[in-house]
Amino acid sequence: MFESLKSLIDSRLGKGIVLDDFMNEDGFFIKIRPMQLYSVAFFLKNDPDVRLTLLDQIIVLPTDVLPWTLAKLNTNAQNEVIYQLKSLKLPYRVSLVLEIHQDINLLSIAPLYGGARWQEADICKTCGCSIEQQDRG
Amino acid sequence: MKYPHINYQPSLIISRLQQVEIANLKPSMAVDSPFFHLITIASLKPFFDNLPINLELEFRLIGSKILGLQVTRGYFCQDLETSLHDLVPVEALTAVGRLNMACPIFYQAAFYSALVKLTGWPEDKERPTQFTIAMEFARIAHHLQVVKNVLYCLNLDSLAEIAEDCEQVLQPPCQLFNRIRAPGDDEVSSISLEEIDEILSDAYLRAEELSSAISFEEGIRAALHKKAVVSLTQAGFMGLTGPYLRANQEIYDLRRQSDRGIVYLKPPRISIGDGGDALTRFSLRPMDILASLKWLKQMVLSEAKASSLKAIVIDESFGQKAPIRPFAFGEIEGPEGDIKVSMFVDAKGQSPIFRIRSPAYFIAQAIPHMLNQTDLSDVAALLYSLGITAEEVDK
Repeated sequence: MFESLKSLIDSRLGKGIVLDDFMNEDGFFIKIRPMQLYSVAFFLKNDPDVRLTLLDQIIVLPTDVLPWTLAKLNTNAQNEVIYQLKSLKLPYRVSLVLEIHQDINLLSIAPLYGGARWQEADICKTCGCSIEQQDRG
Repeated sequence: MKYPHINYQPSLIISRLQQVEIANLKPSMAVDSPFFHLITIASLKPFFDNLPINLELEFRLIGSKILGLQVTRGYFCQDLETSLHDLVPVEALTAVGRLNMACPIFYQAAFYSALVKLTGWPEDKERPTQFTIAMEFARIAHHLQVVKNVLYCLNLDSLAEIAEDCEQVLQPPCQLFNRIRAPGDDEVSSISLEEIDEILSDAYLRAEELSSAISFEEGIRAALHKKAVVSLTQAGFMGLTGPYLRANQEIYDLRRQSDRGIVYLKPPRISIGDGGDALTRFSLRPMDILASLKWLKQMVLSEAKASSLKAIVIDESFGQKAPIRPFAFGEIEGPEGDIKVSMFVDAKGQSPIFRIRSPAYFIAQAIPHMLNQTDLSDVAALLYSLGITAEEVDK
């Protein structure tokens, strides 16, 4: 098992994707840009050293809660969305944290995690942001 | 349905009367409402409108085959996560139990463990054991209820009566332990070890009889075999846990992970099956009942220095302490999958924000997949075999 998720992502996807990170007994927390959500989620699900095949939950919080020690990077951001992913085989969890506001279009991760569909619809209602479906054509 | 006078639970619909009543209730009073009951689908559906507070299924059919299915959610508990924010911890513990009124203890246990972690609340060292015992009784009660509903649905009355007998035998401890109680609660607060031992022995014999009868019953096999198939990959894809993983030979169970919620020093035997269909998931239920009964018997033996098992009583001061960390998660293994309560506080340490993960939410979302290409005549038994309630879906 890897010791630093940020190092793993830096080496496999390139530096600059993980904007901030920390780790505690609840798992790894990494902050990424909304536009990189799908590619990072794809990597976390399919990379053989990670294999986070279960979407646990998607949580929306107002940014003024800011529970994390992760930095707030966008002063316009109104909400944070946290995608919590789990491995069935290994005892660790990863939380992808994104800052969003009304004008942001997120790419749906439902093609990777079908269980995200209803939760993404709830996010759209809560945050007013839009979630784009993948073009499968 | 052939027996409308039998109170099938859980149901996926509530009446207009209940909706009005519950809309006017404060969260902390909900558990005392005389109207807070679930009503059977078949006997009452023609008499009530399709109001938003339902879990409706819209079918697309060719002949009797289901080709497409849409699940429309209601808004029963949608504000629960928000309303918890305004309650003191002990009131919130009661309110969160609304998500499953038959077995509130699961959501309450997840909430309790998250709050203990968040605040560093000094815990009575017997408390985790009390919770594990309570959850295993509740797990047995839930599985018996689901098994009974499916058996009645398939007109297997004699088998359903065995399940009902087992329920009756276990009623005293299940009623005692199925939820957290307040100090001064008028109901019985403990039960002697001798009485529990006798109850468990009696229940075990009936559960063995039920398990054996179910395994030989062709009617169950015909109704559930190779229906509502969910493979391991599909289960992960749809966020399904619990029996959906174990029915694909995956031993994934939060009771084996000691750092998540309530700690099991040694969990009950975890049953697995193969095939991923509704029959395998249904067959896991009597196996889980027997495993939990056996585990409870061992726990009762190990508690021999006490004379009785006590209900979980939480007083009003619980959790009323400044948070020591910015967030915490309490996860427990519910009978249908992972249940998780997440709590987040801001830097000023104000009342936490809550988020609840319910397995029923994911199961309901997966219903269209499970019922695709199924015969319409199989739908009732398959839906009853899911063991979910509308409140958990609309949390």
